[in-house]
Amino acid sequence: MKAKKVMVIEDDATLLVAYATKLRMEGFQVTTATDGAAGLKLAIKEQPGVILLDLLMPHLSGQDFLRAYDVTGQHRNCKIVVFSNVSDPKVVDECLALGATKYLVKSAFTPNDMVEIVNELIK
Amino acid sequence: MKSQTSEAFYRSLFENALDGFAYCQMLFDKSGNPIDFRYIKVNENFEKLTGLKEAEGRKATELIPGIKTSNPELFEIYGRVALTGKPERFETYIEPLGRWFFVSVYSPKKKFFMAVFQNITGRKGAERNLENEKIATRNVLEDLSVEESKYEALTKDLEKFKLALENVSDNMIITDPEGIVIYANKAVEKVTGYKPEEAVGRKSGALWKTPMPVEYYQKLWDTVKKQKRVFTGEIQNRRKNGEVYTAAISITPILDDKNEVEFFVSIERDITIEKEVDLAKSEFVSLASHQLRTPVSGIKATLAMLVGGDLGPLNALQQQFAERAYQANEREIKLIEDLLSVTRVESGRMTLEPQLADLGQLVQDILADHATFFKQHGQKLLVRLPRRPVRSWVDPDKLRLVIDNLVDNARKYTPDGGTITVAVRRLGTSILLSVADTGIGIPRQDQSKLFQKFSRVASNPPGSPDGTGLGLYLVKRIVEMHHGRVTVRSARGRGSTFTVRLPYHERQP
Repeated sequence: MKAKKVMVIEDDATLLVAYATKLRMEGFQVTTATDGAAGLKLAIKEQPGVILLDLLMPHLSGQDFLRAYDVTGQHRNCKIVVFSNVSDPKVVDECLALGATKYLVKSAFTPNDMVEIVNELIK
Repeated sequence: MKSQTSEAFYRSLFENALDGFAYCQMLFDKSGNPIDFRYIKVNENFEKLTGLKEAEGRKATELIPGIKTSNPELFEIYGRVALTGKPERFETYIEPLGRWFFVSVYSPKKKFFMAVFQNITGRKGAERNLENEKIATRNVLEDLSVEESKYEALTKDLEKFKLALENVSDNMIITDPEGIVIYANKAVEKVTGYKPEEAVGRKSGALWKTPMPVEYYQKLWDTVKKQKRVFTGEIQNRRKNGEVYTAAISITPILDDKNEVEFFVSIERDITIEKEVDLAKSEFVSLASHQLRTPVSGIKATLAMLVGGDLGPLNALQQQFAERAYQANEREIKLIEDLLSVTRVESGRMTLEPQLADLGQLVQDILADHATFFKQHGQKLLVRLPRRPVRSWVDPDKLRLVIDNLVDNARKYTPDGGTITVAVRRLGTSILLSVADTGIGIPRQDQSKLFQKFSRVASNPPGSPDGTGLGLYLVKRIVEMHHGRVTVRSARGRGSTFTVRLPYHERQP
């Protein structure tokens, strides 16, 4: 089912493996990418319902991904959860203005928390 | 010359001369002192020059009453000449006649004298006028020299003042009310690249080709020209070479007696480097926070799955170790968060963003995050909120940090089964927010250092939970940013009560 598709775009392998594993265990169809540009290509192909998006990544930053993926237009039904270790309020505001649904600071959440959040968004 | 001819000649000369002639007989007292003289013969001009009529045959004291008192020297001179025959010349002012005379006197025979005189009143007047003018001129010159010395002193002061202006490191520009530069000091060239002579006479805004928005200038002119108040702010201007620089600016309108703007004094300090350093610091904190959080986030996610059984069942010992590792990592995360908050507070980058918030609701939200811990440790939580919500202008995110730290401490230092009481109430113009526990308490000697950075209670019993030593320091700083204060009441073994008193703002302060 298209709505159950979750994509994780994250360049930190430890985090990527943990979150992708947990989400798969919970029954989501998970695809992953380790940089913004690869993530953009895959997202266009896969059309996930939720994307966990890191910000500081090679090739294409999270902010650039939000602009390129046309989150406020063509892909407005896709929920983007920015998941970053940057907590600068200016960056938070920027991402929300670019169409992100949520902005979460990684160190404050566990994979369990994320399952709850994704379930809530995908309902 | 025959004597008759010569007599006729002298007579003619006597009659027709322009000078006054008077031939007189000197009169002496018994002791031989000159006391008066009698006019024997006078010419026509005598009358004209003296104004005295029918003088011949009369005594001087009769003809000119008061002369003896006013001109005693006249009698002495005439007497002397009449006796000695030695001619004398003198100038005299005959007060009863109100005239000046130049007199030449000689004696053709003993006890007789001939006075030949000119009326010099006009010349004397001119001389007096001249003298008066001289005095007046001297006075004026003296006044001038006083003025001059004042002027010199003022000029010297101005020179000193100018020298001071010239050499201050801040840009200093004086403009007329229209913004045309009339003075620029040396620093202007150093900062902008424009020589003072290039700046003078040109409109200041046009000169720097400033990239500021129009609204900025509207506000600036409105402040200094309409409201006639000092304008301070940050401005971006362009140097002569096109480079943009940031400056802290202060423009003061100088008003005349009629309260009209006479000129503007603008002082600018180039803060480009400070700004760059500030930005670099800010970027460093942002980058550091990212770099510090990245590994602990990975550890957290991995251990959370391990502890949660996502990766298969663990035996009791494995579970215990995994949980310890998870908690150690959580402390690391807390330390990083506190350090970052302290850095933000101390560098002035933590600013309040106040909004109208329901403080009771805020407390309940925070307590919900701690609910699992209270349950696990059998701690009783009492929440006392007023019936009517307390809504005030605060920064809820920052205040969350305050309440969270206080609740976190309370539950950590309270043994299992203890009670934690959180209360919010309004007291007049204040809001009181308190967190009380039945924990181990803080000895009096440690209380004064409690809110200092990295301060730990030295006398805590072994096995007491670890803290970063930053939590209460942050609490104090954030409460102070809200213009409030935080206090503690505690005794060893009798629990602690932390009270935060904040000003109540129903409307935006």
